[in-house]
Amino acid sequence: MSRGVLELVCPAGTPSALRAAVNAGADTVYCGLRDETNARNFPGLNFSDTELAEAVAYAHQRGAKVMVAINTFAQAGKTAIWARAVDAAAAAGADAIIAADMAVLGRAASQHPDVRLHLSVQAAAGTPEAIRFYAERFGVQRVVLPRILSIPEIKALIGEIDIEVEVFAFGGLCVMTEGRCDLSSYVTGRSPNLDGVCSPPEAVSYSRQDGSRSVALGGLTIDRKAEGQPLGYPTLCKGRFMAGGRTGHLFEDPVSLNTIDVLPQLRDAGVTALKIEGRQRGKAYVEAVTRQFRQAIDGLGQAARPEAPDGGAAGVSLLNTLAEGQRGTVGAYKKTWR
Amino acid sequence: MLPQSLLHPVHAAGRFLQARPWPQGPLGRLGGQAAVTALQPMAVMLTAALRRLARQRPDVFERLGPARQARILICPAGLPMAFLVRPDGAAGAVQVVRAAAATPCEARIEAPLDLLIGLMQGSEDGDAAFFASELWIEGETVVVLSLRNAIEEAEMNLTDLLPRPPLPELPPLPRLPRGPWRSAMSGRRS
Repeated sequence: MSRGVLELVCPAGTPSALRAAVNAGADTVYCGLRDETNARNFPGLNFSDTELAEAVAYAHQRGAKVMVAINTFAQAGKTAIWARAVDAAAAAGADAIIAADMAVLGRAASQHPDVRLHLSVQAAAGTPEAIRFYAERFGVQRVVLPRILSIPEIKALIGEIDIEVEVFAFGGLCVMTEGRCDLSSYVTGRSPNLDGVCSPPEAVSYSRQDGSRSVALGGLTIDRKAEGQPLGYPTLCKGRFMAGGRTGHLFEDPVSLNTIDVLPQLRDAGVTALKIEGRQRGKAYVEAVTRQFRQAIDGLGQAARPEAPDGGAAGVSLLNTLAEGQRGTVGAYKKTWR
Repeated sequence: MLPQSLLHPVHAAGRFLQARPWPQGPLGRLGGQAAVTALQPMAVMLTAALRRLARQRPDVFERLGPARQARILICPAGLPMAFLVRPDGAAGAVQVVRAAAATPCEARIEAPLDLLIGLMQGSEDGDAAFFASELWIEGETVVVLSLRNAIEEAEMNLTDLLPRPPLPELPPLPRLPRGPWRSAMSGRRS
């Protein structure tokens, strides 16, 4: 599915973002339908069935592919919504369905065997045994790995499985076990796993007082900073709390994943595809990040031997200005904290 | 070199006003009211543009969902006036109000004028602006998010809202960095 050494998989929350990604050099674009079947179920975001079909046609005309994320967990008594989404993705001509729930995977495998199945990061499958199970039972052809593995661990894992591996390359980080995180549910009653929203917007509020800015989630203040200080997403995992006489980010700093410096190592580990996070972001983000990674991947393909791509200072600065926390990290790919 | 502010009179006027601290007290109130009065024709044009967009792109307004009924106060930072928008399709309206007045609304968005225009045109990313503390929102977050996502899909330009008056023949404009590139190259957004 790629025209380079690594397939570049980019996000799109709207048809215009999809067109921006394709035009900026994405090999593949992933998107979701306008309901709780995908993990970015935010108001005003996502695709109608008609928009999805038009988007697939647009991408195919330009040599790009479209994957549809149906990666929340079907709820008892409501499975028809997820079954409909699978059928709609297939009808639109999607090249792959990204799913985590076994009911969704089963529906796609049995009803639409010609559509590729990718295992979503929401399945939290990071062991050869779990991945092999999904491959053997549902015919899954690619796994999107959780963002908790180092590059040597990814390489070892790839040696033990027979399907493609996709890893996150840029964007918001999730340090929890994805698909099993209950922090949002705990505070707001809604979660990315069942409702497709982490920190649903109706539970988020911002206020200013005495030169500081506060973020509240479900009525609880989760961060307060002086005017001008950078803020992150309003999630509980990125809140600041007082503990042991100190105030700080107990779970995770607001910082974004950026693998531009370790692309050669990811390629050499046997990774097939790089995923850019951010279906909730605007097309300016999608276009800029896609262009940067397109350039980096194409540079890799031309290199005689593995070398870190030179994005240049302007490129690094650009990616940082787009990033949560205004800075990047390679996260677990280099586990310096162990 | 032709300054970028000449690209559109709104840019030019906004930059002129932003560059000067708006006076406080009675003089500021008087000046603010004068600005609001002077901009009433702009409110009429913006309302007409909003309704025209509703006719041309109903899909954009579908994305708004219940936020169509909301009153959204858009405040260009440092300027004496703000825009109260009710994006209710063919019944939508834009009012120019005094920034310092307590205008009832469901959501409030504040950012420098250039950034607001960039967000409207899709050349700036709202999340990045928020992370950089250049954009601030208050009120119902769901309304702001719906509006942002609908505008993303609208693919509007400033001239779609406010046609540029005819200008005399000028030499070609130099290519200027746009969107996030500007931040990366200049080190600051506005």
